[in-house]
Amino acid sequence: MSTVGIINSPYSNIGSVYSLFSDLSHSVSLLNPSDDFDHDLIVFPGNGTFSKTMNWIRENSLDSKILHRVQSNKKFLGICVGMQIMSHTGYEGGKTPGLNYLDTETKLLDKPHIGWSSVSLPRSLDCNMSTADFFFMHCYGVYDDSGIHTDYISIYHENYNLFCQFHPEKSGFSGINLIKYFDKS
Amino acid sequence: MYKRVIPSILLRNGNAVKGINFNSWRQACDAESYAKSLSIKQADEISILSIGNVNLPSVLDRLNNISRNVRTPISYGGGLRSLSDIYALMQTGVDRFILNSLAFDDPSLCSSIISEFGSQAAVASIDIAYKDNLIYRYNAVSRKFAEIDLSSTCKYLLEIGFSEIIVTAINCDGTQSGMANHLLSCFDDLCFKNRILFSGGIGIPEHIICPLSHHSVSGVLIGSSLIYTRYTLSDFHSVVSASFKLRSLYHV
Repeated sequence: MSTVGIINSPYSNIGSVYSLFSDLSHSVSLLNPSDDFDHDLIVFPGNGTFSKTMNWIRENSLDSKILHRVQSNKKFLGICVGMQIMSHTGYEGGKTPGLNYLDTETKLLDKPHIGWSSVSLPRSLDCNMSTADFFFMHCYGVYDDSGIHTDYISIYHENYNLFCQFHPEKSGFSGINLIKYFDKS
Repeated sequence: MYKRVIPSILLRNGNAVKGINFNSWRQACDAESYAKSLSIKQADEISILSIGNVNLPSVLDRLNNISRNVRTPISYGGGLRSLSDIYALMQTGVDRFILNSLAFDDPSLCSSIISEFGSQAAVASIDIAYKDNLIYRYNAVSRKFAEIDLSSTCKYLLEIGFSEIIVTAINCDGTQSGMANHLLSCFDDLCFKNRILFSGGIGIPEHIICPLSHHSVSGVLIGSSLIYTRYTLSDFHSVVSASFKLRSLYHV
């Protein structure tokens, strides 16, 4: 992909995400709510609480824009809260409706999860590695409604969308490689 | 989850410095180059702290330059006094903010900040000194010490909403003679599990073993020993690998 648009959420660590994609030689833009989402890749960066982020999305009429994008045949990357908002409900900052794209809810973890942990990578990404270590920074996790899996979801890849609970932009070479594989997929 | 080894960079008047017992500051290195090399050497995280009178706009400029070449998490503290300061900070590529004085001067504002950005982004920092079985908290603004109960003070910081607390022992800081391991018993309560970042006194890689073995300590901050001794980050990674579990590192 050659053009990357990063949704300029006021709570995100936008600088980190911007510099990663700049380093990977993409043409990077910060997107204000009124901007078009016609880039090859749209990124919703991490940081910020679920409720504040969803309130900002709704106040700026971004909900339908984001949903349209994730349902399209163009790439979307959601990082941390950018993944969590895809749930139907989140509980950080009070019970708040999410974008209801995934059958999941975003709930409080037993303890904050800050640090590096190992992640099994989806085969659909066709990486040359089955697991890699990434940096996590979250107090809430995404849980699927089925109840089959007791752990929160670390990574989810479908069609043109990649959702990561961890921060690939802060995960050194693992993160860079993951983005490159998603780029090629 | 892996234990973290976190190099720290102290900025004073925009320069990277090191001191001993929070004194005797001397110029240490170029912050941008050092941070870049730490990122290449795959540091788990980098902690940047400004001390003295902080000109925040000029620090934010430096952080912009630093973060451009860093692919590892950065936490920053110093001169942060308002919600707008945090908004500005997050635009620079810093991932977590560290609050020291503000946590004690205005906990209500800290709670408001945390409700905007999330607990995961919020780190508290407390500088302590100990003498004759007593522990004192150092206030960098008033430059005074006040006796505290370390355990209940840190519980209070967790209740405000901070996800981790950097505990720096001034007695050990910059001495490279070992960490204040006797303080670890203050964090025996399970509420502290993986919530403490221990700082002050690391001289050799083996100094990290005792604190990282305690359930409360999720990481240690390393200062002078990475600059003034022959030890490299790789030496510390070797100790983590031998005594705990090291995350996968790429051969660079």
